[in-house]
Order: sequence, then C-alpha cells, then structure tokens
Amino acid sequence: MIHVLLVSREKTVFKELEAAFADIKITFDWTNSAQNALSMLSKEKFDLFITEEQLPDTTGRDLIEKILFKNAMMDSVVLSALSHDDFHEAYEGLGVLMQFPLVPGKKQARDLLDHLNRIARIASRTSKPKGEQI
Amino acid sequence: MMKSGRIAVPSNGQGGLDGTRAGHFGHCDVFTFVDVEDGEIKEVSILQNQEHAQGGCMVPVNLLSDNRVTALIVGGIGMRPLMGFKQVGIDVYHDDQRAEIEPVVKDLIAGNLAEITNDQVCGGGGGQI
Repeated sequence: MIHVLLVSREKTVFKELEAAFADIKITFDWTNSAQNALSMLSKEKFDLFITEEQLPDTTGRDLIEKILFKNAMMDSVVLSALSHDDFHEAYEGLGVLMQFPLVPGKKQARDLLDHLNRIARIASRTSKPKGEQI
Repeated sequence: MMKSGRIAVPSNGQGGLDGTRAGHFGHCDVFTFVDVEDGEIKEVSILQNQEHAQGGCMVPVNLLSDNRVTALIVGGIGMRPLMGFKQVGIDVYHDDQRAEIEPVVKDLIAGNLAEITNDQVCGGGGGQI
C-alpha cells in the first residue's frame, strides 16, 4: 500500500489522478497548505507527496526543502507549468521524482507507477557486501 | 584527523587511489573506498555505481550506507542526497578544486578537508572539480 499526501489550493486538481489510481492500492490524503502538510507528515507515514508550486502559505519548493531536512527519504512530485529545462534548473537538487502538469490524469498515474517501479528495481540491486579489492 | 572509517570517493573509470574523481556522484562510474585504521590507509577497494534515475537520489545513499561508508568526498551535491547522507550518518566533505583522488583522501585523513555546508549544495548537475 502506497500512502500519498496531496497538497494543493483546490482539491479538484487531483480528481482525475485519484480516479486513475482507483484500482490500485494507493491511499490519498489531501491538504491545502504547507503548514498542514508538515503537521500531517510528522504524525503519519507517507511514501510520497505531490504538491503545487504555489501554496497559500509558501511555495512547493520551500515545502520540499522543509520536508527533506526532516526526512530525505520522502519522494516528491510537483505540479508545474515550467518548461522541462526550467523545471530541471529549479528543482533537480531536491531530487523531485517527476514533474506533473497542473492537472494530472491517467497518463501521469501510469508514468508515476512506472518510475517508482524502476527506482525500486535499481534499489533492489544496491546491497552488496563490500567493494572489490584493488 | 580521521582515525578510522571508510571513505568513499565518486570516481571515473576504474577508480583507485591514483584515479580521478567524478564531478557528479550520482553518475560516477565507481566509488573508490578507502579504509582507514589508526589514521593510516589500510585498504583500497572499488564498488560499481548503480544506474541513476531522476529522483532516485536515495539509491546511492543506501548503497554507501549498506557498504559501511562513514565519509564521502564530493565536488558538489544536491540538497536531497546531502540530507540523506547526513540522516544515515555519513559525513560529507567538499573539494571542488582537485581532480585527483589521493590528495583529497589524505587531506581528509589529516583533518584538512571541510564538511560541506547546506548553503554549498547545488541544483542539478553537481559541482565541478
């Protein structure tokens, strides 16, 4: 079961995305501010959060930074209208999994699952006892 | 001064103490491991890096943690992996001037290399050496 926190000014932006995940074991919680998001993340276990770039009390980027300071393992996705290059410039040091359009839907749900599975496959190959002596 | 531990250096090609450092730790070919005991280099080994995926910053964090690394030397690093390394107990040191592995390793052991600070993180391609 994947637990996802959605952060946006209006819940409706995630309507299609939630519907696309209806048949998959993913649970969603939603909040409309960074402050609430930080509070929820401190109380419950989430695997991923998806945020808008602009929130009522701060930016999505600022929220990601605050979360990373507490838990760098938390994956993030950002809804953004930036070009690919501008998004890369603005966010890559923060290790954002993916850029979604402002209203994500079925395609993004499929892409996200594929990407999470790819990272899981890579991660499963990482545990090795020791380096090769040279 | 570093008395004991395992240093990891993102490296080009085959790595090794006489090799060169890679500018982006997530995309390096191998990690050169230097085991230190009593302030001396005891053993040098290498570990192949894993495939890099966008947002997969925690893969190298877990890889180095699983391999008992205690210190990492980078030319640049993003905020997420830096926080990740700190949170798993790996100290991250910074040198963006020298391409060679051996002098920066010796400086770290001698206590002459500074830990990277949060305001030195980069966004994207990592630092240059």
